[in-house]
Amino acid sequence: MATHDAAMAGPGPGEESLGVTNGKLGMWTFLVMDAMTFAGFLAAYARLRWAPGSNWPLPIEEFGPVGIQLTALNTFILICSSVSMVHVLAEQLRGNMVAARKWMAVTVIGGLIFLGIQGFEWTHLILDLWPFVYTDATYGFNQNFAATFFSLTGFHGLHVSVGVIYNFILYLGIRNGKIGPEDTSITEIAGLYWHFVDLIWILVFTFVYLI
Amino acid sequence: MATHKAADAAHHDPNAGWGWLGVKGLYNQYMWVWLALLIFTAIEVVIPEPAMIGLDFHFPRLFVVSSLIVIALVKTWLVAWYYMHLIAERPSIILVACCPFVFSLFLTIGLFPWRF
Repeated sequence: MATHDAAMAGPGPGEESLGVTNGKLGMWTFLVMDAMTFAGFLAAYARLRWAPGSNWPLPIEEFGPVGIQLTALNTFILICSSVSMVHVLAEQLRGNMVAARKWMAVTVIGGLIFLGIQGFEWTHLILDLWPFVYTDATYGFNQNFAATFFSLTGFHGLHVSVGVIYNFILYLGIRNGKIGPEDTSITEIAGLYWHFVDLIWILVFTFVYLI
Repeated sequence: MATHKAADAAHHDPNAGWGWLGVKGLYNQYMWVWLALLIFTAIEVVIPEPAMIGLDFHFPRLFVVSSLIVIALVKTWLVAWYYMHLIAERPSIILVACCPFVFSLFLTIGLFPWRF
């Protein structure tokens, strides 16, 4: 009974803790946890690369200028989808749900294009560049490079996939009228996730492709 | 009176507190930040391989690494500050958001190969 009373005394899902909605606080808590996971991945990458005699390849030479340009294009697309996501919220605040729905569609399409290009890149790397991934072939450099590359970009790709599904559900909600101009909190929380995905990619792109 | 207060509480919109609405003012900033992110990305791509734009030289490795890290951190800050609205967020949320950076700092210090 006392436990029940204590639970009832706490703020509900749509109410406030620390001065923000519980939903937003929950998303921030999740993102912090997720950022630490990515920090662990990046730290492992750095530690393996720094190991004496690691024979780590220089990414710009391994991927080639075309490979870097393709990934830069992917970065460009993700940044654009991030700006389209803030437009969803801005249009919603203006009460223009038709425009908000269109911007959300652009955001979803941007995420899908990103995943498509990443899929193309993975296919090329696995089939053409790094045959040791699926055969017994040996290679001149430290194969941890490929292992950490796939771990980092794969984990990020998983986040993009979840984000695309998340945003598509919101798109359907806006289209069906279940999300209206007053439901800005829902869009803002989804935006936090999507911008986080963009933010992490900025770091992955720098550390894994450029440095 | 008590009933009136209860009704007020029931209709309280938690988002009424997000005082950053400012969003209309931020609307233009979104596009400036977007432009800055694109320019920084273009610079990032050129720094390790200036030959991409026809320059026939290479930057020193130390400059490449340090400048790329600085640019990445600036881009990260731009996204978090403007797109994730930390600019107008409560200090408690900003503190929560800083946790991974402190964690990363410890990781970097702990794992850096100090003995070359």
